[in-house]
Amino acid sequence: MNWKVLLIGVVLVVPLVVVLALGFGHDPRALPTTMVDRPAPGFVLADMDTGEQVDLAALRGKPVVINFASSWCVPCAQEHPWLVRVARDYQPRGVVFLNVLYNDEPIKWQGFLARYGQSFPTLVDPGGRVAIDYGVAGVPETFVLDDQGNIVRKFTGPVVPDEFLPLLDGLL
Amino acid sequence: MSASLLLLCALAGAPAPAQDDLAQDDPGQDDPGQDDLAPAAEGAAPQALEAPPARAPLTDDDEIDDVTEHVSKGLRCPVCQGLSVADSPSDGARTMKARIRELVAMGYSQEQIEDYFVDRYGDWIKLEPPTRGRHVLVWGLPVAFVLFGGGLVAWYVQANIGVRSRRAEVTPVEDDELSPYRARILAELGLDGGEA
Repeated sequence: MNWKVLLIGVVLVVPLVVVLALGFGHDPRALPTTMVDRPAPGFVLADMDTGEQVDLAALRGKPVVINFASSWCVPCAQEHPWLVRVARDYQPRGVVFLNVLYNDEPIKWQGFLARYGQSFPTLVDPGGRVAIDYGVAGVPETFVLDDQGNIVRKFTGPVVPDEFLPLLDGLL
Repeated sequence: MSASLLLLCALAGAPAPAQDDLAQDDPGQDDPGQDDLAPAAEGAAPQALEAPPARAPLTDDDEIDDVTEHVSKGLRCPVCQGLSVADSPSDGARTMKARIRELVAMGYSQEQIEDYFVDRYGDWIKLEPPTRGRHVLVWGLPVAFVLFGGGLVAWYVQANIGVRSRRAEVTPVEDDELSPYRARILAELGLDGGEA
């Protein structure tokens, strides 16, 4: 009789332990992404400062960094000055950096840039369509594209310097 | 929007998207209200998907709103992950809802719109998991557990009924020591005749 109880206990407990072990192994708030290792969705967006239309397809042949950010986003403020410095180093080497404004107003973003610096253009995304096309769930999110226009890496939250810089070096 | 849902939304936000929630509390932020379109969408030309719409464009605002609400109910807000796009007060959800409304008005079906979001965000974006792949576990395990539990209860009940019925079949053993006393009691009660 006891072995039957033991067997039932094992049958009930083992799956629960497996589920819990798998569940504790990852951050439940970490959002899955389907965008890496596929062609980046195309877009034509206006430069916030010049009004000039920027076509992603025209940037083919160069690595591109697309950073979705907002002035109200605290991690963006932490990340941005570092990104500005990195862009100053890497833009002359052929990497294109772009900010895409996410759920924000240009006037507020201009204040943000005045405070935290600017070394690359900001694009305005009406209706957040491009953000949705890229599966953006929050800001900051940064997409790194190779010279063929494929997304090779997505950073959710501020970019990780130890991973970001070697990645750019590898794309050059 | 109830206070509990707002609190749930604030508690459920991911680290980065949670800043979206901070914006909700920032008195300096414009908050057009959850039923309004995202501010940046105003005046922007509708943008189609790669595939053509499944039907003709809708023109009745009430119908567009109804379909938008229905589709939004089935999609998860990336910020308030326990809430649907329809119920979430976050900016991100408002942006998504505005995009859904735009696509509904253009004639895209619910399936097309859901496929579009799943393509960008993965199956996770649907509140109701699909019935394929590993998601089958979500649907199948509860049924399996109910069947297993039911079987367990049935087995237990049957086993105990068997024991009781076996007990009922046992005839009391006549105790020789007690027999004289029982006979005497029955005699005093006048039951020592045919009844005893």
